[in-house]
Amino acid sequence: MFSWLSDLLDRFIDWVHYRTGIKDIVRDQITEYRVPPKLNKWYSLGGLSLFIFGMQLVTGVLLLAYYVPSTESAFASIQRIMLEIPYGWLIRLSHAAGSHMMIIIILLHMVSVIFMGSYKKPREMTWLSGCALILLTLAVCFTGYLLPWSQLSYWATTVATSIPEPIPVIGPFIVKLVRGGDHINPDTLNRFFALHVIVIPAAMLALAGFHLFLVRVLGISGSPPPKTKDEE
Amino acid sequence: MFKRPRFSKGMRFPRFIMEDVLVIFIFMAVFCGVVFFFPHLIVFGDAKIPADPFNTPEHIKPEWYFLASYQFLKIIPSEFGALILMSVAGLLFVFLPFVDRSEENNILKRPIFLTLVLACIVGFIGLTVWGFLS
Repeated sequence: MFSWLSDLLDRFIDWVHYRTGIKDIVRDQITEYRVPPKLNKWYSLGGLSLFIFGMQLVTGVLLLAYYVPSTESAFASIQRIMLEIPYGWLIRLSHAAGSHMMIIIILLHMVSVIFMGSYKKPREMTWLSGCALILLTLAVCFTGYLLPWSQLSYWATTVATSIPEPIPVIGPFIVKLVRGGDHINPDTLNRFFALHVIVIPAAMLALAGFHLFLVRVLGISGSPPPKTKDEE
Repeated sequence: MFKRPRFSKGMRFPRFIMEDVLVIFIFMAVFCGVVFFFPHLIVFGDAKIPADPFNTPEHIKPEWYFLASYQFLKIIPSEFGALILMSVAGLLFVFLPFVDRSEENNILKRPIFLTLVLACIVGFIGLTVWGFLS
């Protein structure tokens, strides 16, 4: 009865295939793609960190709907999200908890890669992009930490931004550059906000795409028990 | 170019995705547990007070993931020396695939490397706990 519908769908897929080669991609990357038959749970941590990253993007965009990035209203807008906006508490707490979870999962992912020796040839570039992703994750957590403009975020950021100070010659300059002044001030909030909501997440998206691309190009690494002799 | 192994007897399409989905569900159980039952682990203490630049709290500590490096900076007498040590360690870590060129994949057959890795992990956790308690 609906054969015309599946016929229409086939014609649509053919139309797209002619212009993108989508059928070959689906065959190579999904239907005919195989991974080693016995993988432990550690192998899922990379996918899990991607999932948490997606969750942070969604909750982050929802928070943007009510958060006000100014020193006068930031804390009050967070209070409003927590107390007045329906389910605002859920979104805010999820975003905050997600940041901690993401760091835990990424560190576990990294430890498992070290233990399984997966960073070795030919996966050096996957490791390098992973290292960059860890640094960016720490940076995105660090910049997001100041945004509620609470007593904790203000002083923890003051302490952390003073770390480069002992470097000779350029130390004080770095501190001033990061803070946008001698102390944490309204400009610091603005630059941290810009970094937190667009600059770092965009860089992370691109790098995560590259990381995943390499994982697919090189295949999943063999772990101990050593590489299977299953090559065709 | 490196040729990707084919694993003709390997896991098929929905299965390897479901393996990840299983781990995601386990994670979500823990995650929801924290968000619904222990919100005070996430937002606590000074995080509930608006920032006051004229009132320095007594114990300032960074987040737990920076605590290990923060504690390391505190216990090394020369701050600049500690920064250099940390940068060298960071660089060694980033360029690990180029530093460790051994062909052996099984870490259990490499006792020296295994000891080094375990020492790093114990050191990180130890410094974090130390920073938390001090």
